[in-house]
Amino acid sequence: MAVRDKLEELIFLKKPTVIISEWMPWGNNQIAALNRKLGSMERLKSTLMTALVDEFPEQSIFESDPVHSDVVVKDFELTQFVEFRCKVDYPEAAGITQVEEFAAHIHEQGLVVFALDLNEVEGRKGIVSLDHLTRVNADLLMDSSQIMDTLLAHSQLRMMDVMFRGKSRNRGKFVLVVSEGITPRKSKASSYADQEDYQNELEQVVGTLETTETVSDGSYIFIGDLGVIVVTKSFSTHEEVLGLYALVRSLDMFMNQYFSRLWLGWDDSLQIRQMFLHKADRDPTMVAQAKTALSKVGADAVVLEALMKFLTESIVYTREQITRILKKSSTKQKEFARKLHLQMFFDRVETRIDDAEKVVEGLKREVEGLQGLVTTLGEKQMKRVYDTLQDSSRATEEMLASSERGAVALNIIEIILAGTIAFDVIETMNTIGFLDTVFGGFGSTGTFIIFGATMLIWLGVAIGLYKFMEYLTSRHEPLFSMQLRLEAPCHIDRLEKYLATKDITTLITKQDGITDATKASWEEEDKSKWLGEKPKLSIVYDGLNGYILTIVAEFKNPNIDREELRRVLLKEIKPLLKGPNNFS
Amino acid sequence: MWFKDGPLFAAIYELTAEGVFETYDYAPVSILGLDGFHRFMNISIEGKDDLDDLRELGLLNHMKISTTTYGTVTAYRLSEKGMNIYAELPRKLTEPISKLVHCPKHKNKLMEIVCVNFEKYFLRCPSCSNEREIPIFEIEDVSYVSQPRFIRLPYRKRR
Repeated sequence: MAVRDKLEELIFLKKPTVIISEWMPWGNNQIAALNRKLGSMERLKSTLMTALVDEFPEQSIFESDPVHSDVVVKDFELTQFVEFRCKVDYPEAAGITQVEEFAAHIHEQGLVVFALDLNEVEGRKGIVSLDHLTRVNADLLMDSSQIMDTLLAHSQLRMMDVMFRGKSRNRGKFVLVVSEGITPRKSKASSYADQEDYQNELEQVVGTLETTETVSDGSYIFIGDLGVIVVTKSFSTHEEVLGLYALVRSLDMFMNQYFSRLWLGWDDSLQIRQMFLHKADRDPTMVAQAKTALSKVGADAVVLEALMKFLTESIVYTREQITRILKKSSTKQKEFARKLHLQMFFDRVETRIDDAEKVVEGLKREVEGLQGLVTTLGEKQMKRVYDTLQDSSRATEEMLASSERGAVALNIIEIILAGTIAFDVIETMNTIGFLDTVFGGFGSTGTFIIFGATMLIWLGVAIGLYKFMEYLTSRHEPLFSMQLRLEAPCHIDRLEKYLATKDITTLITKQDGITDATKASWEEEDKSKWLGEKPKLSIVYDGLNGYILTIVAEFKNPNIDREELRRVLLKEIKPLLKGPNNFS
Repeated sequence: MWFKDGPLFAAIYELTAEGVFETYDYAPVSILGLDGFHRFMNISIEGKDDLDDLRELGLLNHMKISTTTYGTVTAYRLSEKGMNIYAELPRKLTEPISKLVHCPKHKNKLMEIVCVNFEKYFLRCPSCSNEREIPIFEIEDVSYVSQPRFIRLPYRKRR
């Protein structure tokens, strides 16, 4: 997007060098890994870098868009630092031409520096207005983040993600601009702090202007909360001090964000505590919810603690370097360092790191305390479940005993009923004179025969009733069921289409915010597909995460071929599953 | 009622970009947003400075409000003195501003400045669907040519 407004350019810098610096967690091993990644030890020290990740390492071809950076290593020490030249080739808006090439320096102690000389801006050579400079800076800040994304290891990206809550590209960086001259040139640096137009121009680059300094060699220093402008003819004399200053200010900026992040961590844990204390007894899902939330806060606290270790190490190292550099510095260099307020900024960031160390330790303890609380409540809930289970078992036992008594009574009633039927049959036969006709000639023996026949009829009816009851029971209960526990990812859209073709008789859903478990049951119609039966099928799936959990088939025929059934079931479900799987 | 600095800067930016505030310009500044994330916003430092001038003159009150993300919001409103002066301002001064912040369809309706996900600002009419984006987060590019500069850093090589 081109500039919408007509700019009011008041201050111009001559041949500015822009230095963007930030602090990040590095350390020896990550620097060694970076050197390997950049091919620092190789004969040809030039490579293209991309932020894309190879998700299919087994494939022969890697496709990439044209967004990449060209990196050439200049100097390195395997575990200590790497210096490289980087040419950025990112797409820009129409009509905008950017030749963006800068030097990068990454050090084990966390200092990351990107530096470039601005030769030409908007067609002007050797001179840049602050209005243009601020737009170049914004571009450099964003592009340098993009480059860093290509260089960081996954563990570092994770740390940055926790630190900046997934938006690490927006992180603040320190901007140091060093220029040979300034137009218009005023008699002293403080003359620019007019609280009007000139100060406004400076504040576009350095943020809120905190102080201005004039050095005895004629250099001007403008110190702001986001950056510093140094106007000096002896940049090379002060390079080391300025590098050190960039590290200190980068640490300070990181600490601003680190401290806010720490308090957000505290906030999260406080929310869990409140949610837990207010709802724990009423909400049965609270323990699971609290455990999930707590594991996230716990993991964040671990990362924040690790960052604190890197920061502590870095501050110790920086103190040593300040002592070393100032000891060997000339009077001019010492004056320059004093005017930059190097020691003051260092003391400030050192105190802040000390202070933050206590807060991160407290956060860790808080998370541990909460974990204990969750465990206690979990145990309390388990005890409650155990007590309920015991009560329930006792009630079940009583119900079973009662049911058994009922069954015995029913059997007796069945026998009596059978006897009643048998006697009714004999009685009917007697009434119609059938017995007299058949057994009249047997005298008293006939009576015994009738009695025997009655007993036989009684027995026959009793057996008949028993078989009939067995048949009725078998009609209501399936005799064979097979359950396959799949727990496999599925195409949820296909599953929903599949279920839409079925006549669903039962649908049970349980949601807890993390999963959405649904059980759908139906009766299959096509006998030919299901080994000559019409089984009842049930499928349990997680609609939220796209998983099929289990599938159950219930048959009335207990003699079903189990291997064949398993094969048919998997054949039915396979088109719904995602990717390759081991089911066959 | 207080007007928060985010929408206020968006309004100043829009009026600057549209040429109503002729002496202002704007530049991308990294700002810590209300959601606790940094992002670049086109801020008019001159506009910000004039707000301070109005405060100094006692025409504008301002208040700092803490946010849940441990940031601070500054909110503004006209003081009684400011309101009296505003009422006496000549129409030709206020009209260009008024034209931009009122709905073109419903002339008497003041457009609202709506922030969406802390990433976009819109001028929206409360009576109709008329809205337009204020591209305050869109950073303008400039053409430039640069070359790498290796600076001497305060580290000794171990080898």
